[in-house]
Amino acid sequence: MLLDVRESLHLLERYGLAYPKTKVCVSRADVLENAYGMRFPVVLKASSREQSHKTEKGLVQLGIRDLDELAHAFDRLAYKSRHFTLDAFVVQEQAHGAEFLVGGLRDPSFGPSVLFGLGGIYAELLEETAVRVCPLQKLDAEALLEQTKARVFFQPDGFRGKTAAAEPVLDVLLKVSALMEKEPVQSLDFNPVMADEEKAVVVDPRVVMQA
Amino acid sequence: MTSSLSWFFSPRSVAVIGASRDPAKVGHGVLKNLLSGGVFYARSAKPFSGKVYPINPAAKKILGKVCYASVLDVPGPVDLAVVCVPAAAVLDVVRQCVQKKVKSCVLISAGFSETGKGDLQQGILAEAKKGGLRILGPNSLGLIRPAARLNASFGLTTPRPGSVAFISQSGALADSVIDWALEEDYAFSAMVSVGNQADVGFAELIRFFADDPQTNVISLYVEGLSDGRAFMDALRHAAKKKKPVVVLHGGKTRTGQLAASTHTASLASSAAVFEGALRQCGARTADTLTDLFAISSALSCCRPCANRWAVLTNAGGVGVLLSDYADRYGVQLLELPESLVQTLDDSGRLPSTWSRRNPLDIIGDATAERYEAALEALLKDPSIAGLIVAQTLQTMTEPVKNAKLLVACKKRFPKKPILAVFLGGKYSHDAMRFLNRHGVPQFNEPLQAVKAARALSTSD
Repeated sequence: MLLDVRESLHLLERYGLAYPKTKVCVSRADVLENAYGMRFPVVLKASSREQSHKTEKGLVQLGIRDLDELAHAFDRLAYKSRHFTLDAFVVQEQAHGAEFLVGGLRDPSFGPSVLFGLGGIYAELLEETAVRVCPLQKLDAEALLEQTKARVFFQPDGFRGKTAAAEPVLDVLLKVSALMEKEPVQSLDFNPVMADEEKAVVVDPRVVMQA
Repeated sequence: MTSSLSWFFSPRSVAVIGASRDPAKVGHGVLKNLLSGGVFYARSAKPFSGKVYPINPAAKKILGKVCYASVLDVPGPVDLAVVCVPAAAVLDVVRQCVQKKVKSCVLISAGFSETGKGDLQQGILAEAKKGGLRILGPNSLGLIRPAARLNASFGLTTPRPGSVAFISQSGALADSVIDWALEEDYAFSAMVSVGNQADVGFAELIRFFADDPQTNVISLYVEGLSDGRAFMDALRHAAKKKKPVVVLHGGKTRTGQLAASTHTASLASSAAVFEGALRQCGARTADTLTDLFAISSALSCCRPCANRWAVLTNAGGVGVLLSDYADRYGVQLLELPESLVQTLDDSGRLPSTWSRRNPLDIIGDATAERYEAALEALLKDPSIAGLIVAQTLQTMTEPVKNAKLLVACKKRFPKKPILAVFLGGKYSHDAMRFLNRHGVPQFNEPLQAVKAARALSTSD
């Protein structure tokens, strides 16, 4: 069973996994009101348990610079999602940095495992990912960072001007390992985890619980 | 005996239950292998030195040996029973083995969980447990322990005794490996076909061979595992015992997994999880069957070394290919120290056109004498940890002389692995054989030598 936004964020909090400032809203007025006090640009997402690839269905609006744009974005998303059952509208401060994929899975013979690699919309196409079996030791997490082409972001020059510090990403991997061991999670998919020199945040958690 | 598995590999007596007079039957091949070491001739095939009891209620004698109607009629104790009766008769046979206090049992019989008859397999296992009888299989092709002159399988013959333990989830594959081993001169401490792993599985066997003084390298062909965690613990144990484990994983793709599920009835792990688990436990992976044995054999006769390699060649092209592969597989080719270049220049034993860099190219017309000068200098240089020596065949090339040279170098510099890439066929054959026979791993493909170098390298 797929967790909704609130449940997913709650799970992140319990394991100390950082995510950008996020407000879960139910109406247009709610969205606009909650956007006060947030740092623009923000992202608006129409969240639905029925829809996994939000970007492709136009259910995500990035780079919203002010309240006016937010109001417009809301109207567009409300129209595009008119045939879906929505859980919520989600306003989130837009994160920056290199995009990674962090996943959790349950193998029939090895049990809970953690996956790491290049994130973003081409992640499934590139398949630049590697796996370690839980519980991950720090050395295992470090090896994950080095195994795929995602390693380039942790090198001094980075890639296309983007660099990431290893420590916050290692911390995410170790926390996901603990989560996979303790929670009845069938699979989880954090894509992207956005990381820069200071922090790593889970932007779009997708968590499926065991039946 | 410390492990209950010891009874499989050093029994004093073996019963063949379902021994047959018919040479087309498994029960005939197994008996003949025990009595002679191999149905097919090989110098390494020797008769089992312990007692062998054929069991067949309908025969008096098979292959000159007196038959017994059941294992219960055997006069002395039975340490190992090899069972080749139809699946439906196995339960009774196992009951008799328990009653006879047989220690270990190879179930060659097939038709259990791999064909959906898991209940029958469970029943047999429960029966065996009552008497502490250990079971290899069912659906196993048996086991071979060359140093104990034990061929309890229907594999064609016995390979040379060596230090590689090969454990295979495909039995028939292991059998072709035997034929191949005779040709390539691979040698084994044991060959084991695990079959359905109803009782004895990979994890326990890895632990056994990690503790086995005859074994230096553990080589696996794996399709699936029921308990990945126990497997990982066993790999860690082998790492602690400094016994390298090399793994070829079959069933990585959906199509391959489908084939594997009907083959040995095991759960298919995602290839990525399996690979991650191997890396986590310090095991090496092989991409192909030939890689599996090439790497295992290199690990069995060379000491691991730092990742600082030099290439010596008489062909520019082979040097280029080796450099490409080294780059791709993370094998570090050192820049030649200036002092070394100077030494070689001063020696006057190399032609003026030699490459003066790594790969060290001593040009197509190189004789053994030229190889000797370069080898000497390279092996004496402390910065170089390992050597890949390539040879292509020209009219003046001296393959056997070069091979002898490499073997002599190996003796003088035992800490530095030397990998040979003598490329060729008919006229290189004797040299290749000499190299393999004398512990210098020889590869007829540059890529394989680089993969072996990677497996031998201890650090980046």
